[in-house]
Amino acid sequence: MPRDPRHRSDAELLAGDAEDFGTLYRRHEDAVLAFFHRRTGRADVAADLTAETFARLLESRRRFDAAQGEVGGWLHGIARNVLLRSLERGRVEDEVRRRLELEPLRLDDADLLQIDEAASASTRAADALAAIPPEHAEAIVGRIVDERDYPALAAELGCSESVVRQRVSRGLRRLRDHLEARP
Amino acid sequence: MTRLPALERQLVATAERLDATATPAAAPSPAAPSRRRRLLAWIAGHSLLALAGTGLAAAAVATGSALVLSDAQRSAPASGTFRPRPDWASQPPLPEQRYSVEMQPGLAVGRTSWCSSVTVRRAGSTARGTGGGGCLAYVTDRDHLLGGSIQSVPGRGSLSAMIVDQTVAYALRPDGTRIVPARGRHLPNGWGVIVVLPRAGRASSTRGTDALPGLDDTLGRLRFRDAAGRPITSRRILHDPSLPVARRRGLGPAAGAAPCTIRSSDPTLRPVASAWVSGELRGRPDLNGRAMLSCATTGFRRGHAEHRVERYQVVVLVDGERPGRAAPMAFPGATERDGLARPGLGMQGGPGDILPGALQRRATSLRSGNAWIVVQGGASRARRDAVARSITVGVRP
Repeated sequence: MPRDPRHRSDAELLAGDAEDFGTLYRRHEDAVLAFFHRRTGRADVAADLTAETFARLLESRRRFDAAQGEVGGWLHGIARNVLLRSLERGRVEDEVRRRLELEPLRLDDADLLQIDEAASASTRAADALAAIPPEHAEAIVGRIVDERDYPALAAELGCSESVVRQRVSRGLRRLRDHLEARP
Repeated sequence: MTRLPALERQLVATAERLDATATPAAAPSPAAPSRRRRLLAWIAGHSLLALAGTGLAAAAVATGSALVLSDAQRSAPASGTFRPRPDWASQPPLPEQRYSVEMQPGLAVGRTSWCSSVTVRRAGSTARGTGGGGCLAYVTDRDHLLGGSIQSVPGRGSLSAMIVDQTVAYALRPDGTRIVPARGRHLPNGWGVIVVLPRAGRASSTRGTDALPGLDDTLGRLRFRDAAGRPITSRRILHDPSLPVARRRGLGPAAGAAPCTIRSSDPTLRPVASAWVSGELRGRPDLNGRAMLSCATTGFRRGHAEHRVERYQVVVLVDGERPGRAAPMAFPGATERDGLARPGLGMQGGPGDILPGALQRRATSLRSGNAWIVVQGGASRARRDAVARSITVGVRP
């Protein structure tokens, strides 16, 4: 019996079949939409850039190497490249979407509202991170966003490895408490 | 649940097709960014938060060593040009770049926030090179480091900027020399900026006497001091950053039914969605730099054919400390003419020199009583101005 997709890792989904890729898309859709919405301020542009990002992930998914990092970090790198190239060229990148023959997105008002809501949820998470002590936020960003290992983080932050672990652990607890207190 | 079901369907169908044909991927692999690049990327996106944290840490470890006044250099200005020296590997020589560091009030409803943006582009080009920055809610008078941003300039290093308030007299570099913040018209109410221009290879050259050639581009290595040489202790307070906000599709409440309301007299504008402060319009007494409160917004559209739809976002800004008081200029550095003010209007060279950042899209603002109406989007400045003039706002402080 196949495992529940919700319990499979990103790397397993990326290596899986088409339905698995759909699951992976749903898992990261909000984060990518919010990433672009924060930087462009436009729901329609965020949707187009998100489509190009996932098209690139889809096209290159068989080359993913788990030894090089996690899928989330890879996806973030793709999103950043898409954004920078779009800004450099002054237009929304759609090279891979066109190559894969994906149709242009047609968004109605409800779609745009959904994207605004996704961005709003992400803002709440950023607020929560800002509300915890800076040393905890720094440790969480270093470990979870940047995926650094503990020894490297400890050297950079000028403290012991166990202190970094403690900051990450306590910071996550505070983050969870903060988010739960503000639905 | 997915926000864009049509996209998910297309992706799944395309994945099936690719798997069925086993076509080798044709696109170059998007290189996994280095950890440093990922950090910079994350900082660019969350710059206000991350660099404020860095700045706080920096301030905490600053030493009290006395400095000789003549060591001080003024920061590169908030906007200008630079021409990095060609790297030994660069072909052809690197073109002149223009940059701009800007601030504007945040437009998120219910928040009293500041936003900053850093834009870099090639001189003479209409396309932005890079853009970044972010918004930070509830900057109090105990928070002296608004935030910073690092923008990579492909092949040319990175440009770093830290926005500081008037308490910050200078930044101390690791070698003991000082950088005095530059002030500018488009940085409001005493805010200043410390700009570190990018280096190409191991050296850079810059235009102007205020430039800082060859400075290390790591903002985190700077220590911030007040006029007496004391370390700056900046404290971020982020509890309750937002007033209660209500949302609805279409128009918001009618005049008098909410603290801030928006209506348009233009029948061709179709209201799409609205948000407004639903409770009391409460000012905050401890804000830094005359921040403004965004109290209502409505998105409008004009036209129906998909490729001809014009989208406008209308926002009402009031004074963040005392909503009943006349709000300061919506866009710092703008010049008000007949009630209208646009970002960059007062900058050197006029509107053609506007460098709208990633957050500051083309916008128009119109004074309405003590508030400002801000209009973003649309096809042209004239159309934005016309939309702004069609808007009536009600503000009940």
